[in-house]
Amino acid sequence: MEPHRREAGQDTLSPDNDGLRLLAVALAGAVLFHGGLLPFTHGNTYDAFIHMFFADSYQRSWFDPWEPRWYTGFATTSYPPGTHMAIAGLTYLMPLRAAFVVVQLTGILLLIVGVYRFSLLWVAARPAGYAALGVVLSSSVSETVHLFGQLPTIFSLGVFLNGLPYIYRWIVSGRLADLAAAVVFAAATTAAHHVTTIFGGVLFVLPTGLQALRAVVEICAVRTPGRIAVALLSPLGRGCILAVLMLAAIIVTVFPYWSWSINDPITQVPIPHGSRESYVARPDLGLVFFLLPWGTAVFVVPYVAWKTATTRLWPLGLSVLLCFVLGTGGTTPVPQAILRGAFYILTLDRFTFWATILILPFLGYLIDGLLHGRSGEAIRAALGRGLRNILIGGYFVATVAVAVFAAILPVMQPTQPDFVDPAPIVRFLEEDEHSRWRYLTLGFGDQFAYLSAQTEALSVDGNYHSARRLPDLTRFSVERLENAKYLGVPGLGSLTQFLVNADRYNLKYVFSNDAFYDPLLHFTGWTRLNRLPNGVAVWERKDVTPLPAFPPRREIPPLHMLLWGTLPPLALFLAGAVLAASAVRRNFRPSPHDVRPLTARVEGFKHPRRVRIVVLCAGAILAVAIAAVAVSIWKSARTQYAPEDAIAAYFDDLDIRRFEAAYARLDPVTRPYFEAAMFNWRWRGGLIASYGKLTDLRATRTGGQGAIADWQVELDWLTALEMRTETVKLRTVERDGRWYVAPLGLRPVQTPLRIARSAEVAWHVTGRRQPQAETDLHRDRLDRPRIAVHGARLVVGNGRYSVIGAVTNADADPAMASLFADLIAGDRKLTRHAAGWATGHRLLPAETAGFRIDFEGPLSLDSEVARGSFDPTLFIPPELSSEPTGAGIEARALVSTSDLYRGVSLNSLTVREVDGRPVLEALAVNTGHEVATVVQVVALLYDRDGRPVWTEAGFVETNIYPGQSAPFRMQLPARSEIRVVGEIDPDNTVVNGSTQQGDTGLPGYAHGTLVLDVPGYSAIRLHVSTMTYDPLF
Amino acid sequence: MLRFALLFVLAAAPCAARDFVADAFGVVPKSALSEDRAAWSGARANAGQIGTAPPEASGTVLLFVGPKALVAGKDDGHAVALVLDRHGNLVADGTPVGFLLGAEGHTDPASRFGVGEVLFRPPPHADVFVAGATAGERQSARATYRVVSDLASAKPVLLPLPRPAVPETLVRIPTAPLFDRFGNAVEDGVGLSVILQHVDWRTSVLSAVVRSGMAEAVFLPRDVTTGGALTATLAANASAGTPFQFAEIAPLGQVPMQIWPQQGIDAVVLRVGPVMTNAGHLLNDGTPVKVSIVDGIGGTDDRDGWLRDGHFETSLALPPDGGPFVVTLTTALGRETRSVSIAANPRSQHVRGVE
Repeated sequence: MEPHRREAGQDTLSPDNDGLRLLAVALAGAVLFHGGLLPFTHGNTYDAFIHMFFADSYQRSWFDPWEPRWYTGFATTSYPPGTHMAIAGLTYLMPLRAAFVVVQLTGILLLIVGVYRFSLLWVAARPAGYAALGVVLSSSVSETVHLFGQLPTIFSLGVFLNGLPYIYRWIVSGRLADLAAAVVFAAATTAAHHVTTIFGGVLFVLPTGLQALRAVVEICAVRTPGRIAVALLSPLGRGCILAVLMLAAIIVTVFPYWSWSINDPITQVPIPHGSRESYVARPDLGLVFFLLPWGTAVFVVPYVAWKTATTRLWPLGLSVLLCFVLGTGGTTPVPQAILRGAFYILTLDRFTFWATILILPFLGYLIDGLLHGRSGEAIRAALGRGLRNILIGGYFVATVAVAVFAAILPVMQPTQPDFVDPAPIVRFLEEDEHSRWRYLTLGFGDQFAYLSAQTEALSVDGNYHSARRLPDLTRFSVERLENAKYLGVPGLGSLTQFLVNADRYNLKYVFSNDAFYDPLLHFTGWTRLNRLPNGVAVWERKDVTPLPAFPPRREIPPLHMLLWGTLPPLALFLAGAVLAASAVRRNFRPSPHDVRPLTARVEGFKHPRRVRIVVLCAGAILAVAIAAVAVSIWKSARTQYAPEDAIAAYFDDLDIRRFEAAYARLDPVTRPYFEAAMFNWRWRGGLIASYGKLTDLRATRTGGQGAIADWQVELDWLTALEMRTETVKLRTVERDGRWYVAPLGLRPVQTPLRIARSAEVAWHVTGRRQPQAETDLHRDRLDRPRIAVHGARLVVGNGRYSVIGAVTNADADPAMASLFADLIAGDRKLTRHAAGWATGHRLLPAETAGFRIDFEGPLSLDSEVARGSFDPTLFIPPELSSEPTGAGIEARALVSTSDLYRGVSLNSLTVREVDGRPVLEALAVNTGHEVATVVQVVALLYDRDGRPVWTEAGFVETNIYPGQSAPFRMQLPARSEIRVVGEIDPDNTVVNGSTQQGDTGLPGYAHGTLVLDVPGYSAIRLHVSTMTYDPLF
Repeated sequence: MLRFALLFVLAAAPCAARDFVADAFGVVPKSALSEDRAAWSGARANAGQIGTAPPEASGTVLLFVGPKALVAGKDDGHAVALVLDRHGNLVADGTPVGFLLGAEGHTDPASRFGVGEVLFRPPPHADVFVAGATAGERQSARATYRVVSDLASAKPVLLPLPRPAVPETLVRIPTAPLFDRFGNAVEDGVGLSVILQHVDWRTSVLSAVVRSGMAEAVFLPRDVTTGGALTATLAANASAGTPFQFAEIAPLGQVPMQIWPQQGIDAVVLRVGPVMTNAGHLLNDGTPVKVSIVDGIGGTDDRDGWLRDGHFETSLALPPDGGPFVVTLTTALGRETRSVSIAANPRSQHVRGVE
């Protein structure tokens, strides 16, 4: 093909038809590609529902930015409202989700037009058209739209790029209309997303300004240094004026946001983000935050470096390279050195996104050269026409493939749970005044935000972490409670605090879409009510104080409300009007007289032979790289694992429920048939197998020789309740050079009866006794059961203050006990906490159990513990203004009629001292008729004086079917580890709002206890309770 | 300025001197007092004269009895009747109010502020009682209250077990019927703690729940080898110890053992069993087994597991040519040591229990 040769300046003088045609193709392609996918992908993105929630907030109250539904209330002035208000406006015409899709698609179209117009400042029309096409096929745009759902990022950049030509024109020609348009676009960009304006000022405006100044110099008729300096004075002045006005626009447009930032600064522990990790150490993050967004554009980076060094595109090239480096995150120390403190706040993948947009003029120029210019001709000469076409076509296909892959990645590898229909939950919250309390969701992913948008009920959680101000949330690096299990112990610790201290937050309902949390909910005193039609389980905490009729809110100045409700939409409207006027007047690009784009070189290469060598070398390098990757994959597939690897892989497969793969790792000679192995795995559920997540594994060889090796394997499981270490003895066998795990059997005990009959006591609290609408009639209520707190003491165990003691249900009705303790210094209450899972909450009449109320507190952010050296297994001590001298207790109870299964006994129990600490061992036997999913044993220890001194709780690791059994082991603290601070004065004990009274006598250390023969203790009282929901497999 | 003056005058206008009436619901201009409000607020406006009229006769009687559960012989109940006239006004002081609480009648001869009340001690037998109140010609809707047994006086007694407990068989451990000091049966659902102190100083902890006046704990003797003494505790009241006997099972002859080379690797397979007993059946499935093996060249291996159908089979990391093997077998029946030589794979033996 003959290269397309042009005279110098020809392209700038010729019509833009080629470029406009390509732009039209790009716009049509975007509508087809992104518009076709968006309705199906936006629900799987991370952020889409959050933006919908904000939009819903404005739809409900346009001018009042106080949003009470998340985090006990926050101001929506914490995020620029432009896109949200656009969605809110559209919701008057269409449903919320459709409005989101329309605004997102509009943002993509704006981005395509913006890239075209921006590229025209640097290259000619046709390369700019190719750059616009590059947006459609950009994997970074695909990822940002279809995986991340970042509407403001796309929309604001689209607006911003469309404003850059006015900046250029203003600097070069000084027309006031251009100045006004530039300021309007800056304001509109800020209205959509302020970060784009701020960083865009450096990464986009600065190169554009330099390009404009260069054009001014080139336009200058007489190019003496003096004349040039004089000629630059006015443009520089105009640039300064523009900078001031743009800054003013940024400040004024979202002034309430800046006011919020200054008056209510973010003081939370930095939330880890994958874009700050080393992509070498975490290749998975490198794929998502670097390789995937770069896609095939990464091959153009060397070309950018070359063109930066050799052409007038150097300002733009420097921006690309800077963004490239910053986008590498924690892979190198350079981004941290450049960004300093901001490194821990910014999400660095944003720089990669900007880089992939900044690079588009280069890409357009390169493609244009390959298709129409001398570089394409040089490749044809070096490799032949066919190979050249294959190379260009291959690059195109690869680009399309990566873009499509990024777009459909969330469908192939879902990052969100299956869609949860919010309607049943919304109905539940609206019924029977359930919205008088706060709620919490678990396992909803980002769909929580969509649920929030459907209801006026309030949640203690939220999905916009920058707005969090509760110390209980900000002290941990936990983004939200909703996904606590993915954040390990810190996440579960934070969630536990909320579940335990539910009364403090008026938190009464939990909607759980993830059974992982069931044990935590159950043993912290929550009751599962029912399962909604959408499969979500509703949990209720009894006896929680309802929200006040008028919840507290932050007063926002009326002027802020007015500014917030008017200026951002006005800025967007004006920018749209300016853009529409430009389109109508075909005034998309600066005057050809003003621009000096990089044009295609007319003359051929000076050294065609060298070019040929370079092309051939590049081809060879590419071929070698592909071969190296292939060989590496092949070798990795053939690597022979050590027996430790076989063990690790086996348990990993079981943890992820890859049962076929796990079966393949069992010794093929001695393993049972697959269904039998499967039965063994399914039979064993409970706290670990059903609700645990394997976090670590240690294998120690204990024996064996030759082809047999015996191991003691310690498995660390993260359960909703605690970290547990399970010890398993197993054997590995080597056959044909490959190690296998010898199958582990189940204890083959027989359930003694084929059919068991047992009389059962059941209770039913009627609630409404008559078919009428009233929800709270005196005659429907029950008395609070009389419970008695006795032997309570303030102790210090393992450096933590705790209140311990015994609680007896001294009533004829079963009770659900809620216990609270205050630390007291003199007459002052220092802090208040509720009893967690080391407590017998549900008590049959006349039953007694131990309780323990642990005190934790918000962590000072200045503490070293919070500054990166945070050990999640450490508890956070309360910040107390003075040393506590005592404690007070409040206990209250309601009649509870569920979760009172008492069919589990402990056989052959022993307590012996191991490594200086008592260890309790027994066989837990289910003699009843329900499946004991998780069994809890609460142990109340009495000291030598017969006074309670500590309460500990332990759990049986596996579920127990009726007639079956499981070993139970619990380590107790040595007496020397506990310091008694003092007894709790009965005057400081309030039960059911009064002094306590009981129907029964209160058992002491000699009643219903086991005598202990370990140092420091005299007796132990055990209370066995059971969670009986169906175990998970 | 003129604007502000006008606003001031307009704002001040309502402050002109007028007559107001204060009633139970607030202050209202006399001119605005309607007949309705005057009726239900107790005020009366007759020909411009405002005054109060006495309440009318009883119209509605609202009865509250609490606590709703009273401990027999211990708790006093409190019955309160709120009596209103047809307008909702409290009736005049001194209106007598009669109560029927269960079978007993009580009267508050002179109510005050519309409230008549009595404190009462219900008869000490557990039941649900119906209450009503009467004022004038009006009666209240019925209310109910419960009398429950006095748990503090209920002392558990464990009944002797009819026969020794057999391993792996459910044993029901009942108490005698539980009564309080008034003879009331203890309510269903009351929890007791039952502790079995074995003679080997191990302990088993059971729960018992009251049903139909008596409690029953269920015990499954598993990993238990000795009897002991049972104690039941209801709150602070414990029973006397009751003997718990455990049926002893003895081995029946030597336990067969076989060792043969394992297929494919340098190891051997050990099979022990059948483990027979004097009870007429194989030792129970799931009984823990431990084997320790020493081969002829000093190699050792220890394995543990459980019996299934009287057998235990395991592979040993010992070379097949290292025999003879000295095997020590430990089960609930005791310990047994034997020398075993390598043999051919008894592949025909298929172990499967039937019932």
